Amino acid sequence: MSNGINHWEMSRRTALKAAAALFAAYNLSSSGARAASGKSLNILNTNLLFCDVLAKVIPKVYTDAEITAEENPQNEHYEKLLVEMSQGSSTYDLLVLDNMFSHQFLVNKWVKAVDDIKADDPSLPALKYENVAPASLKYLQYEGKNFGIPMTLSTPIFVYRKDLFEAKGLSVPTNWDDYRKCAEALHTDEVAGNILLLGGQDAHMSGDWATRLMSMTKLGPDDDGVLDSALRPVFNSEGQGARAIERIKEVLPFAPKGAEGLDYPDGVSLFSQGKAAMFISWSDVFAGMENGPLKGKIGYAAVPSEKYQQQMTGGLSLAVSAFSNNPSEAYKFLDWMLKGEGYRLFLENGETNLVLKSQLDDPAVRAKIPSLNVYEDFKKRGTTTIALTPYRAPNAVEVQRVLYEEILAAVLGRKTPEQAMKDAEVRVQGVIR
Amino acid sequence: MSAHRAPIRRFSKMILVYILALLATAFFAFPIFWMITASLKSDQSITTYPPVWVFAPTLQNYVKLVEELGIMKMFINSAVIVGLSTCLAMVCGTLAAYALARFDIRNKQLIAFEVLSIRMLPPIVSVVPMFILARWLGVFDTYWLLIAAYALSGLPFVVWVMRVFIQDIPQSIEEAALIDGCSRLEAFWRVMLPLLLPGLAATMVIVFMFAWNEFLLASMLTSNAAKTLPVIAANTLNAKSIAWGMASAAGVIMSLPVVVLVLLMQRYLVRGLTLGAVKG
Repeated sequence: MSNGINHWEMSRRTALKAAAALFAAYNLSSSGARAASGKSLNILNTNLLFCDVLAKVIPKVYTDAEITAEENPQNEHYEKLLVEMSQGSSTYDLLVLDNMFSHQFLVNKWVKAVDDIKADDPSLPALKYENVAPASLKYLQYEGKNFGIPMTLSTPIFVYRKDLFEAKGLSVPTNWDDYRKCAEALHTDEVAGNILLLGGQDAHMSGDWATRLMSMTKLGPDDDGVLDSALRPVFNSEGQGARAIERIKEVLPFAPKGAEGLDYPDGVSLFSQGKAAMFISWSDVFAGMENGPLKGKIGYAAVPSEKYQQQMTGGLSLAVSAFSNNPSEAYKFLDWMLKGEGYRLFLENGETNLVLKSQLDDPAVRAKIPSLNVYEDFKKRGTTTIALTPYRAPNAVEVQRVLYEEILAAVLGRKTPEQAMKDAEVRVQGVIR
Repeated sequence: MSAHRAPIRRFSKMILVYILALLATAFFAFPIFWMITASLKSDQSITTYPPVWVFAPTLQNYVKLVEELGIMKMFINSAVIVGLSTCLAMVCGTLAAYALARFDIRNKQLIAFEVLSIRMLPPIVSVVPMFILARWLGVFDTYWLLIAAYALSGLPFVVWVMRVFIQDIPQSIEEAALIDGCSRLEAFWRVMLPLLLPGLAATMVIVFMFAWNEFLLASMLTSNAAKTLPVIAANTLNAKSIAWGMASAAGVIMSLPVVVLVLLMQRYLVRGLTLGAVKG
């Protein structure tokens, strides 16, 4: 009766054999890495689409140094950045930074100015910043110096189901009143009128609220509409913060059931399953959607506006760690990227949030990536670009969390929008460092 | 009449019990079934709504995990780190538990409580100090760091659970072995250990599972060389989208060693988990 796996006992010999096999396998697997020699660059990387290219494709092409860019999930990536940099760790040479929190690293001097690296080693070439979109550079500039290069440039976009719009005879909404009408007209039991992502801090604060806020007051190119240059809260200076909440509340009945728990991945999943007709979010959210079941049915346009045609820009950047033992090699890698080869590989591998001017201006590229046509809309509507909220704060993630909590409280009816904004002002002032 | 009805009643009761058992099994097994089938679906069919029940299975998600995420290296990392740390925790913990259960040590309770206090610390609190220590000792991103971390975090559990198991074994058995000429170590090895096997198996499986699924330390205390499976599995969950197929395949791969271990230890596990439940 002692047949079957349940009655198999692991003898000591078997255990020893298994341990020996594991060690042998480990030695085999690590021999390649150990054999690698010469210059190396270690990148603290996250796990978006371009990060994949940075981790897997670019190391095969870039020959001046051995590139290692292990990916980390986004939340853990931020925590890891904080732990590594606050402890002065030299483990990583280059850091992938979300532009939303890049100032934290600039202000704390956790990244090294490329101008300083060049001053230390004059033989290094000048970086070709003229090759990338100017809007992508502001997040890496501080005290008159440049601190890295942009990797992607994203902006909030309005994504909609062309087939459903045609069936109802609707046209693309350019203001929030029309947006509400479209949401109501398109909403059914099976297909929600629009997607709201109340469950995600960044998704709700920047994707739902700030997209409405940004068109309500006149802003300069470096303003973000939340904090002024002295880090004072300005998001409700004319009652616009509360009005933006009202704009969310009016389309909440046309959101999918359980919108309170939805974050970016859930929203993308619902939309790609055909469960919603309209979706406003960051352009990088929609990367790869054209390859899904809705291919050919998706339309892209600029986000509706209230009073002023203004759009945020965001994205991710690459900066040199202040504690890197190899800043010159890191600089050379930035130079290689800015020459365009790295960005070409991004594009070839499916990245749609392009930053290289020659790619953005190329009609063939625009034809290949329909979401880029939103920039045509910018031209038609005279849209100006503004900054990503609240990029100026050295603790932007914390400020965003406070705003998110207050906005959500108002959207769900636990507070009035006015009260929530008042509380948010007090709390934001309290957490600003 | 009632004599005729009794077998029918017994039979219908049995049917009802079976139906309930089947329903309970289906309830608990469905997520596993869903994970396995999702891992075998293509990107297209995985997001289709309503869900596709009949589909052409593909191994593309597993191939991607191996080729794109290099999961084999992480699997080996996990196996070595978790295997060694579990062994270390079991050996040290069982010996410590034996000492606490059998010897007359001053402040025994305080020592036992002190050992347990390690587990009261939330892992996030210990991450930064461990990071600083690791850099200071030059062991950041090495197997040794995670082996030490997992062994230390598993140790209190082993000490407390094994202490109870040891206390449940009558001391007279051990004393008989000592009278027969065994040394203390021999008595432990030849007499106690065989009796403790069910407890050891149950404890080991739990310690192994904790370490195998641990994410925070694995993510924060490694860079490239010592990354483990949970970190790679989490990478399939992008902040803005989810690779459902790859996430499911990673789930299947991560579950396999635990399932195999539980099956191997099943005979002891059932006894180990119920031992001491009823005092005789």
